Amino acid sequence: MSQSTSPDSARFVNTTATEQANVETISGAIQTSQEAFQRDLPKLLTTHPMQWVAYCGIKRIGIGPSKSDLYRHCLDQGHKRGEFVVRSIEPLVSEDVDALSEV
Amino acid sequence: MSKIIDQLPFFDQPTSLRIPGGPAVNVRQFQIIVWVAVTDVGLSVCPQNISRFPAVIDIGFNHNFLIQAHQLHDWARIESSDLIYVANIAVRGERVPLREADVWIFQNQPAFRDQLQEVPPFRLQLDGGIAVCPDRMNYPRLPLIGLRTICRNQLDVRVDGKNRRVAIHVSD
Repeated sequence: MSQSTSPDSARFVNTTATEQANVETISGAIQTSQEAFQRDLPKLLTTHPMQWVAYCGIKRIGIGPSKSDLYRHCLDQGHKRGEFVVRSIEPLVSEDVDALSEV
Repeated sequence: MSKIIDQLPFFDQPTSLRIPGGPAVNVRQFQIIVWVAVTDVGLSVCPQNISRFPAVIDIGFNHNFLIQAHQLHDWARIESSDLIYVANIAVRGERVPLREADVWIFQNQPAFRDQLQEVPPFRLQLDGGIAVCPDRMNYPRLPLIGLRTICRNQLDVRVDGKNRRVAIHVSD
């Protein structure tokens, strides 16, 4: 079997690479921030229930009563969109969602 | 408590409404419709003249806010890729991305569904953002506001079944 690459097969490879590039992934910074939040959540539930908490990577940025205020605080501190999360301090919910059909 | 939805009617027959600058959409019987907007998260105020569109208050939906990608594009004038991708949920067996956003709910004129007050909308703060369904799912037909949003924002939703009216208050 020939190992040479025909124009058609080259196009196939390029298309596949493009499709793979278009598969969006959660950024590493967001992922790390989410993991830090989940790590700390059990304690936060006892100390700051129903507040909001911000993480940038493993670092906790702040805690407050308003998500939008905390979000702007993070931006004011120089953190960039997409590099931090602001989460509610409440028990985690299942990733499975029920959305009922219309009648 | 402040009232954000006042004597909002819902109907026992199908109705329709028109999205400003957009299509007419059908509303099924016994669907509670509010008008909303979606923005990037954390804005200090909701921009004036923002695109607004209908959403169904659905306490059978156990998450925040569910919308199709094309509805976000066509009705909210936002590209889903412009909203930060933070997590996934599973809807009808499909992986659906959660994207950070704020949802704003417009106050209605008392006793009218589709006439709104000239006051700034109320921001709903969502933990984990909104779920944006790929268009191939063709679901939901209209965006949904779920019970989790109602709870997180401490909304008091009262349905007057006799008179088919809804009131929503928010804690001060």
